[in-house]
Amino acid sequence: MGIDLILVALVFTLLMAGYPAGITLGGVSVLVAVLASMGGAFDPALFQAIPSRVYGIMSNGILLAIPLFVFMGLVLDRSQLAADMLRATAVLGRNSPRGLAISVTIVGAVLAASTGIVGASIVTLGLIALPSLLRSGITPAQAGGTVAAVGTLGQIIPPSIVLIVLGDQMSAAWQQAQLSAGNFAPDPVTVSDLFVGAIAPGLLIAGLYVAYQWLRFPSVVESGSSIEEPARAPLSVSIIGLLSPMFLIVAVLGSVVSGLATPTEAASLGAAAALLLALLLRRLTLPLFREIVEEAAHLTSIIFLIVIGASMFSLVFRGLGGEARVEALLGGLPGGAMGAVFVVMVVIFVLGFFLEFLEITYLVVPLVAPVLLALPMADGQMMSPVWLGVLIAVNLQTSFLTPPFGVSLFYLRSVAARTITTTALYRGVAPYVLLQLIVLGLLFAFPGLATSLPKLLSAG
Amino acid sequence: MGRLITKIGRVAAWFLPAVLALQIIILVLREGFGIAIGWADDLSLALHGTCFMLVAAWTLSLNRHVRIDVLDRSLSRRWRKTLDRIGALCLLLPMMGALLVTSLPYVARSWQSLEGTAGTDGLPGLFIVKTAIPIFAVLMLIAGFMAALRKDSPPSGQMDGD
Repeated sequence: MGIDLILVALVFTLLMAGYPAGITLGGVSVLVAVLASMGGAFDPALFQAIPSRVYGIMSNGILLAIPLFVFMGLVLDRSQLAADMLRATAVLGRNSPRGLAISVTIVGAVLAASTGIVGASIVTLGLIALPSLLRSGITPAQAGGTVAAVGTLGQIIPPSIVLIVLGDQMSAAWQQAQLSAGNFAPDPVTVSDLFVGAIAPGLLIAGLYVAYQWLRFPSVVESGSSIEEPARAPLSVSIIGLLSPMFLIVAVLGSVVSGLATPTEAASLGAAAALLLALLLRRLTLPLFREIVEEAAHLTSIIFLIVIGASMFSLVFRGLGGEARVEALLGGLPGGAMGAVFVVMVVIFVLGFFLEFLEITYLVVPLVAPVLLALPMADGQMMSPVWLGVLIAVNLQTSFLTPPFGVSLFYLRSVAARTITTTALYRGVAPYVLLQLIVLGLLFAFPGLATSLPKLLSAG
Repeated sequence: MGRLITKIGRVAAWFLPAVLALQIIILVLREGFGIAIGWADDLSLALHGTCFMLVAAWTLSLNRHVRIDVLDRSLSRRWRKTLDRIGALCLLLPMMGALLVTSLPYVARSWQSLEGTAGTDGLPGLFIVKTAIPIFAVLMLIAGFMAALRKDSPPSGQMDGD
């Protein structure tokens, strides 16, 4: 029995105990490494690599985009600009539950894209969109399912933080796979590539959501229910509230897709523009700005503590020879490269019930991605890192929505426990989970769904 | 000690808007005037890196770091307290201890050469940035053990600032 396996088992068991995840990862790894080095199974010289790894995380230019996007999302959220967008949808869709659900989906997709944090967008949607959906005459199950599903769209629609960390890990994995294949100057894979690759699958998912709502939700308000609230803001105000943040987010995304700006530059432009917008609409006070700054710093340190802990884990796991085991395991699966990808996807899906995207990205991806990317495909081509990254992102998003453990459902229940029962919520998200699985299947069978757009743009 | 951690965190949080301002200046100078400043990018990375390293302990003292509690989202207060004690001793101490012990010689080397960032127009004072690593380890240890020994019930860890 290898010590690397003991390490993995210990880490996953102890994470469940509920001590802060980043510290659990780092602490268990150090303890196991110390014990293993006494028995000669771990080279103690590897400990010297810890501080330079931490410094590597501190000075990683790709990850610099994270606090900036977090900041932009918080400005939109805390200055009530995001809430305004959702209230505007209630005005636009006031005569039709179907229209309301569809506009919540579209606005939610844009909004979720701006924050990229499942928890934040679900809470905002749950507090603002859910009540008007409930009043509109669709069932609580349908309303809850819609909000939970729409809240996860931010994971896949760029600029999402999931795609940034996946891009960071995927580019390292791609370098490693290419080096081991003897290519010493591979074309780099960037976060922008992943953003562009995620656009078509993301739009397909949002489109399928809308199609489902079109087919299954009633088109007119039933008697006895009304969406209209007392004291409506005038329509013109709503439209400004709806369009300006939407314009902002489309501009941010557009500048990355067109190659004009790197994700970090787009994030800083987006954050600055959101601040300007909030100032112009007189939403920003000094205490609020201070609150946003401090909250952004908290969220950033929450993210990076996990990154630091996970990097200690992967250092120790490699030091214990775990990499060779993963390689042997994945290489020996029936079905070749696609079989291996399938197995990894199932594992990631199940892990998504228990862990957050950060732990999965930093624990699993560095272990499996270099091996997967080096496996020969049936047609003799190299596996596309963009495809693999987008596949993982859609997979995680689906996992976060799937009962009974999906995080999205937990967040929604924390704000809407009284209006929607758990079983109703499960029934309501089931159709959306089915749609996600369809897209996941399509993406698996047709990698072109993710890879065509990046190819098209880089050729042109 | 708790107040010191909060104060350091509060100050370091403002590195973030500074990074934002710096990034905008870099963009405007480069796109508008064709001027590239090598050290400005290094400076924004340095601010970003030290920001989360110095804020993390404050976040820990507010009980805001992500915990995974799949089975029961509302663990009993007594279990939470026991968990925080065991965790501080068996997880936080080895992690931050290892980081502290290994980073001290690492940072000392950097101080000896008064290291700056690479490149002809690199940023001097990289050794100061690297010093954030042992400071992070010490602050985290203090915050974690203070949380473990706290008599009153810990903060709920919910989003604050409503």
